[in-house]
Amino acid sequence: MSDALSLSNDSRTVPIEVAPAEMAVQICDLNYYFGQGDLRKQVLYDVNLSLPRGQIVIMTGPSGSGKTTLLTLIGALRTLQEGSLQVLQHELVGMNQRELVEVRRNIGFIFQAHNLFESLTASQNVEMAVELMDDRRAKRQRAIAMLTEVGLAERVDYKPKTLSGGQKQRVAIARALVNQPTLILADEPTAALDKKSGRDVVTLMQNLAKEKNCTILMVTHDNRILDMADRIINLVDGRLETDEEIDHFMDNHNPKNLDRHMFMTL
Amino acid sequence: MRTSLAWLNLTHEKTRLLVAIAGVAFAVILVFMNLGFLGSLSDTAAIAYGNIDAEIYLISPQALEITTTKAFPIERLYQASGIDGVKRVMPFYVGYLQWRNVETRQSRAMFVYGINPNDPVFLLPDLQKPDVQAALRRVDTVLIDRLSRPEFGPQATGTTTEADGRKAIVGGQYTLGGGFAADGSLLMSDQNFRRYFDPFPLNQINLGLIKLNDGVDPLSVVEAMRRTLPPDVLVMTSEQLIARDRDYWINATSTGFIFGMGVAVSCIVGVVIVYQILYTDISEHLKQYATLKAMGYRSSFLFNTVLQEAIILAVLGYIPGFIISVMLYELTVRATGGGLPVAMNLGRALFVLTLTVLMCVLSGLASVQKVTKADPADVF
Amino acid sequence: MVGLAVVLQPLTPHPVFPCVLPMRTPLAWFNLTYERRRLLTAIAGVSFAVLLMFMFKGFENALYDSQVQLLKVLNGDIIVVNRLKYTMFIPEQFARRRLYQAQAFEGVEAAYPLYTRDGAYWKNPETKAVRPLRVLAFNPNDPVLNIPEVLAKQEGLKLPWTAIVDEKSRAEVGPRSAGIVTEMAEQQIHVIGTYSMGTDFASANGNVIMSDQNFLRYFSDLGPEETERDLNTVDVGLLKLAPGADANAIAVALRQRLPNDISILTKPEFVAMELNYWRKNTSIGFIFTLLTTMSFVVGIILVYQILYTDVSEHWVEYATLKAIGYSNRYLLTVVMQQSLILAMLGFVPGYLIALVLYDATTNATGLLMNMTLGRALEILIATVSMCLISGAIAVRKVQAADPAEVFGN
Repeated sequence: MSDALSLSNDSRTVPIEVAPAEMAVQICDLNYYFGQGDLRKQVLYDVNLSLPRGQIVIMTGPSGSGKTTLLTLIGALRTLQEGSLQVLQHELVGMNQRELVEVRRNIGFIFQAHNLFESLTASQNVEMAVELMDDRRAKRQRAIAMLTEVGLAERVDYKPKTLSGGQKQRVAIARALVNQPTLILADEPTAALDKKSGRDVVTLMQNLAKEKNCTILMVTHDNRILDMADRIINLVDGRLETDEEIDHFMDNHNPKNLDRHMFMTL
Repeated sequence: MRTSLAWLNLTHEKTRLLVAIAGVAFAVILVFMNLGFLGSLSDTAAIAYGNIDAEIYLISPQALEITTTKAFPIERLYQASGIDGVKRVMPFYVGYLQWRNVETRQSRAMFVYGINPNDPVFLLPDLQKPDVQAALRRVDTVLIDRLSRPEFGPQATGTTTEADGRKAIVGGQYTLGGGFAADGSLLMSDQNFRRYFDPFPLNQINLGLIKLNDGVDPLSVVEAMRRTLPPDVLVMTSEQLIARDRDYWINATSTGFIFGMGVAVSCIVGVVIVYQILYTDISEHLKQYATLKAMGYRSSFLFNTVLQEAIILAVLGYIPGFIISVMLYELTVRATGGGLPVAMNLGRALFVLTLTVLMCVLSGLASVQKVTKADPADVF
Repeated sequence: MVGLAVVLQPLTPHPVFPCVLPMRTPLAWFNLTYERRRLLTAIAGVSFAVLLMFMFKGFENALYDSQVQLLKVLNGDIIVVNRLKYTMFIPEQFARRRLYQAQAFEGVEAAYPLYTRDGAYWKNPETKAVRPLRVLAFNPNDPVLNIPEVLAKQEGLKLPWTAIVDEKSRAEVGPRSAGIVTEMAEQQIHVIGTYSMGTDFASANGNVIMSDQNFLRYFSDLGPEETERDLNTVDVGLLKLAPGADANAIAVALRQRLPNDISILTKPEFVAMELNYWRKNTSIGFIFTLLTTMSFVVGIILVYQILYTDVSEHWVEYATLKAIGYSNRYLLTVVMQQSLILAMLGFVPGYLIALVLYDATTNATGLLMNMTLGRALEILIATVSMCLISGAIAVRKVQAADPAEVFGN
């Protein structure tokens, strides 16, 4: 596991590191606070993390530990002032809104809820993502292709009202993956799915990681899919407590005896 | 007390509630304004007669309303004075004069009331002042209504101008107001009236005013007069005359149709606004309502909740609507220099309140269908 | 503007001509229209706000139009009135010899005197009730009014005690067809025909046309409390100019040379003067401007409500779009597109209902309620502004959608 080399905070000009193209995400001395002035509360403490391309990482931790916050920061959804956070070679610290929006387009988001538009068909919901890349010509074909990959070829023109919970989530995943992003951030992607669908989705993501060298960072409590990860990191009270390769993790943790705080069996 | 679900649902989202209240309020304002304008346009007679100290009036059957009267012989008034219960009879003359604005040199039709200065016709405080009384008796001297439109020009005592080509001096002011037909008025003695409206013999009058003794029932005296007097005069109480006048105005000038339609469409808009709010609220809380049903609440409970919401909205929207309407009435009176005497009255306030509640209840009923369809089984 | 163009393009990519670039998914359109009932309510709301504006503006215009409909059919290029007569309401006349003086000018081909009288009592032949009508009188040989039915009755009007009645007079005037015999100013009168004009404030009950000789018969010898008339004082003088003559120039010349106890106006100026009186010197302008403005505000509230509800309901989805990488600006365009769509969808039914209403009002009241292209455009612009303003206010809410909050709960 390659350790993150210390980068100077002002790394916007030239990224100087070993094999820079390998690192999808590079976090250095990250501190993050909510609120201002006297009410300021720190939620992330000295986070250092490097995620290489093509790695599948699962982030665990008790609720309130800051996992979601870290995810949103990596996803360029919040503005940062302190430390260094490089995502796909972009230094997010100090970026303005407009620049952050640009970065988001290269990231695929998968949420717990599907968040689809009721007024659009499955295909149209996916096309919304394709249109972002200004590819209108082939948008429908690409949408249909992606929906087929998640097993919804028969349902491309159905509206969410007529789809099951699992199907809706798969549409959302199709939307996230259709532009073949190099970084995928997922928040409990399988929570709403049954065992088989969950497995399928995860396999899909795995293939994407291997074929397209796409990095996946997933927050999850679902221990059925632990084995798909390359690496498991554990966040507790805003600090990175453990950061282990999967085999190491598996050796040291009997899934059956897992600390209830870390996992919930579904 | 059981928590009011209706109240909680409505107030849950502040912005939504404010928008809803604003919508209802403005619909209320529209209705008030339409009714207000309608009322003031036809109020000329009501204002004049309301300030006259008489209970019974004689007019020619050919008279349509206060500004289109036909003169009839004064004998009728003398005949009426002989009836039991009559305290006093007073002749009353009306007409239009072209009053010249001394500043702009332009003339405008001024409505004129002519009375015998010794008769206590008008109940206006200004007329009690001795200098005003003296002015009334002077030749070519008139009193002017302070609420006359600005286009009539200066109203200061001593202003000398022309009325129908004859010299006229302002001897004093009074405050009366008039509707659309008399957006400016003068008060003068009968002697002056004869001069300005020459040839106008004073034994022809436009209206006969009859004051009764205290405690006498006007209706019975009216009956008696109708029996006694020939049919070339009409006998009416002041309420009847005012109503007759109003009716004529409302129909003849189409203002009734116009503002009536204004009220109708405003109400429809109100219904649509409230329906929108209630429907959205129900849609958003469908799951919660279904859950309540699963818990055992009956449909009628939900029905009542929606109706309660409708009524709460009605009241919450009516209050600011009422207040702003009163302010707008004031603005209207100022902006038209008194020409449009719009005023709030209890009857109208209650009528609009009823209308508002009806409006909202109607929307409630329309949207309630959805809530009764909430299926508890869907929650799972 | 781009958004509007986007909405107007065909919805699906053309299968035969793949080179046609499919447009962006019209999210604004779909969000607005996918729920039938909601959409209908929204359209109803906007249409009625539009209707309110049409209604009040329409009534205002009707009142003005009615006042000048007589003026518009006067057959004169230049109008002469007493200087004090700045509105038809004012009963001032001028000396007839002024018309002879004007006739002597170059370019003036003919001069026609028109006599008017307000408040002539007409007896309803059936109910015997009397109503005050306005009488218009002139020499039947003079083509004073541009109304064919009037011109057709030229000979008939020369007979004594005859008149033709405006068929649009109010119902209370009673039956008015040719052959009716009744009383006017307490003397017998024979109706020999009808014409069509319409009522206004000055002649709220109706109009009657007769010859100048008949005018004398009825109004020159009255009781002591009435003002008498003779043909030497004229209410309105009409000057007919030679074809191609410059009315403005001649009017100026006349003003310079003739004494200033009269006003000389070209016909458009005369109409404008009358309109100006009603607009500025009566309460009508104030009343209807206030009512139309209120309707505008109600419209803003209505549309804002609709937009706000859409944004609230799709809060999470819009935030998700932001997370995916859509900019704030995109969401602003979605909201503004929705407001424009509402404007268009609401305007059409509002306009159509207004047409029906205008018709109904004209029939019920005799007022001239007219829809013109200009008036329709005026309200269309108001509708669009109304929706854009609501959109601008609603847009602030959509900007607050925070993508970071989509994560977690």
